[in-house]
Amino acid sequence: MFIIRNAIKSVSRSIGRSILLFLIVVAITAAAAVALSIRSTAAQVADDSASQLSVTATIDIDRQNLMQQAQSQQDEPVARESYRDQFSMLQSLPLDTLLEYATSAHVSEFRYSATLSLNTTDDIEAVGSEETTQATQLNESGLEMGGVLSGGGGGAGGPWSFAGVSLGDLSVVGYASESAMTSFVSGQQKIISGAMIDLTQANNEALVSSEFAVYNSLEVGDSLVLANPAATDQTYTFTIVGIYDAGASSTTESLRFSTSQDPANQIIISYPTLSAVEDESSTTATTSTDIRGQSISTALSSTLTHTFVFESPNEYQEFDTQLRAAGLDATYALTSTDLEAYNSSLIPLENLSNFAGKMLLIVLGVGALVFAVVSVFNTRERKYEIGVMTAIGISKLKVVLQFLAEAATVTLLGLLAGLGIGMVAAVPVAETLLANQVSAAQAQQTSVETNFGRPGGGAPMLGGTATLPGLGNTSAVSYIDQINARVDFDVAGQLGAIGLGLALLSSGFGAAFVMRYEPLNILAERS
Amino acid sequence: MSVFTLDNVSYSYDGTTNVLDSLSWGFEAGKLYGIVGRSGAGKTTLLSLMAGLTNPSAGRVMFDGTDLATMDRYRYRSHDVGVIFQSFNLLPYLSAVENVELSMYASGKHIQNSRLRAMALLHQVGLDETKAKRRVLKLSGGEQQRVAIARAIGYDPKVVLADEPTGNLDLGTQQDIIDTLTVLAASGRCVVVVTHSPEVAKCMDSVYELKVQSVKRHNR
Repeated sequence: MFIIRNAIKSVSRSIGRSILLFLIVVAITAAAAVALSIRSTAAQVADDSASQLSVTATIDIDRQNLMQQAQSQQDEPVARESYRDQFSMLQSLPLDTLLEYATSAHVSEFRYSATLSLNTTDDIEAVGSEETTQATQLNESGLEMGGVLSGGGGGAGGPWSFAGVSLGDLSVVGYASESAMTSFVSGQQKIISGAMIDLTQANNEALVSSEFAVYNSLEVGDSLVLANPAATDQTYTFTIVGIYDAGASSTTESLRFSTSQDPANQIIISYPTLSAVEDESSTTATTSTDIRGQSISTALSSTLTHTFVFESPNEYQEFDTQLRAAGLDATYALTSTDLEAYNSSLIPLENLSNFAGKMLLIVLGVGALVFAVVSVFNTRERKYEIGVMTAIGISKLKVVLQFLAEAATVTLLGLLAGLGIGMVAAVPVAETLLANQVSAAQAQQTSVETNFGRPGGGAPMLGGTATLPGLGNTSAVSYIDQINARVDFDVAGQLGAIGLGLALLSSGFGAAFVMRYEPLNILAERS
Repeated sequence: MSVFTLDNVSYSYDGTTNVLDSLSWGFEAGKLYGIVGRSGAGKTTLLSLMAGLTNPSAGRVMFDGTDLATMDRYRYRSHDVGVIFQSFNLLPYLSAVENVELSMYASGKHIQNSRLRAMALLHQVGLDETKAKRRVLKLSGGEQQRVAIARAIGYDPKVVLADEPTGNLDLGTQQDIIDTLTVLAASGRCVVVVTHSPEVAKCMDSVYELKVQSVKRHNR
């Protein structure tokens, strides 16, 4: 008890030194409270965002990896033909394999659709076929479009064949589920007349765009006959059960080399219907050889589009691991653009958290050093007192305990004051720092955009969007720009531990000196 | 039966020259002992050895039959022996009564009404209540000496060791202090006083005289 009494008396006696230590503790605690609350809240925000994030992903050919592999296997530069041969042999994963992967417990949903290219027949024409015809004539006159592109006759604007697949002037999309119809789910497209098709049946029901319907005077209930672009005698008849608003108008888009790219020329059917059409064309297909010696079939070939949906980034990661364990080789990669966007959105927050962590380390390091120095001077200054106390029989341990009690008293008071200041300062300081981080991230991205000659100059706006790195100028990322950096019980607990650590550090240095002192020597020096 | 026994005790500061050489003395309870000698004869060194503040270079200092070297000397100093230092060695930031109380707490003897007892002791050595509550830095040298005496006897030790306890006092107060020490010895304690003063030495029951490497004992 007398240790506590002595400690309190000593604190009040040396009021100047006590105030100095108090102010040091207040400064350390306030800075630490802000830093810890920022780190804690940043982690919480990231966790909350991750838990609310629904991740979508696809399994695609990993071209970058293939390129790196090809380069690492050969010392000399690889010939262009070698790349071309390698890549031409690669095919996307078949639907059966994807469906098998989709049975994983980590996948919450699997959506897919397939697209065929068909031609119009008789008096039906694709929207914008005249403009497209001019464009294709321009290309035939000498412009190379890239890839293996060859022109041909038939239809209003085609057919064109691209990499051995004939292109028609209409795009026919077969959906397996309503959730796969993302434009309808988001409201970009909507049915304005008639009814939705039955996606589970191969009943040749179709939805056409309002623009296409008006252009060809089509109504709900009419039949629509379309042809195989590679074999115009093969036709397929669909019944129009609904007309939808395509959202994007053909006139708002830039010139296309095929009318099938125009949203107005998209015919929507069920996946079973599309599959049946594809099967039927296969049974009557013929093959021929083009001028390059490649075999060309008249069979329709659809392009599959798929999406895996996950409830959280963690499920995505687990699924990726599971895929590799199941034998998916490095040719394919699971990729998610919205996860990349999510990670990018956290960049300012992560930078802020890292900054707060460094600030915490510096504050604690400098604070501990100052505390240690003050403690050493304090102990040396009180050498005589230590000598008297030990001479009258107070053990060195009790002297150290008194020093600890003194340090704890000052630290406790400083901790409470610093905690109060930290609680008040945490939110505005965190928001200011985060705003700076967001501005820095946006400025950096704007600079990159400007370097590529894209619009993007001007002052970045707080909380605005920036282009996602690596995705050209089409994907934008919205940075997290709000943080409510509260000093909660966890932070208070951590501050308590810091305070205890400082008190122990201070007493520890003092104790080292106390243990060295012998009372007789001290008193002899004094005498 | 001796409370204290010096068993062939020698002490050297430098390891070559003995300040104290082969002392073998006994100190009994209920007696007042004086230790006299010229400056540098080792009087204060002897008192430090008896207080357990340092160890002899050779020989043993026995307290109640136990070698001090084997004892918990913090407990010994706080519990069994009271030391009145020549330079008082009071804690300057405490009041007189708090200094006396501190030694009571340090003894671990759970002394009841420690404040009242400390005040009574200070009154006994001639300090009134006002001075008892004053910080010791604001007391005169003689008053601080009295506080040191009160502190040394506050927890009722078996032995009181006093280094020049009357050195800073006037003649009248000197006599008061000698009377106090005599009463302490009469109550069964062993009191050992280091002094230069022949007047003080005359009041002792027994006086040891220290000379360099020799000692005389005068019994009365």
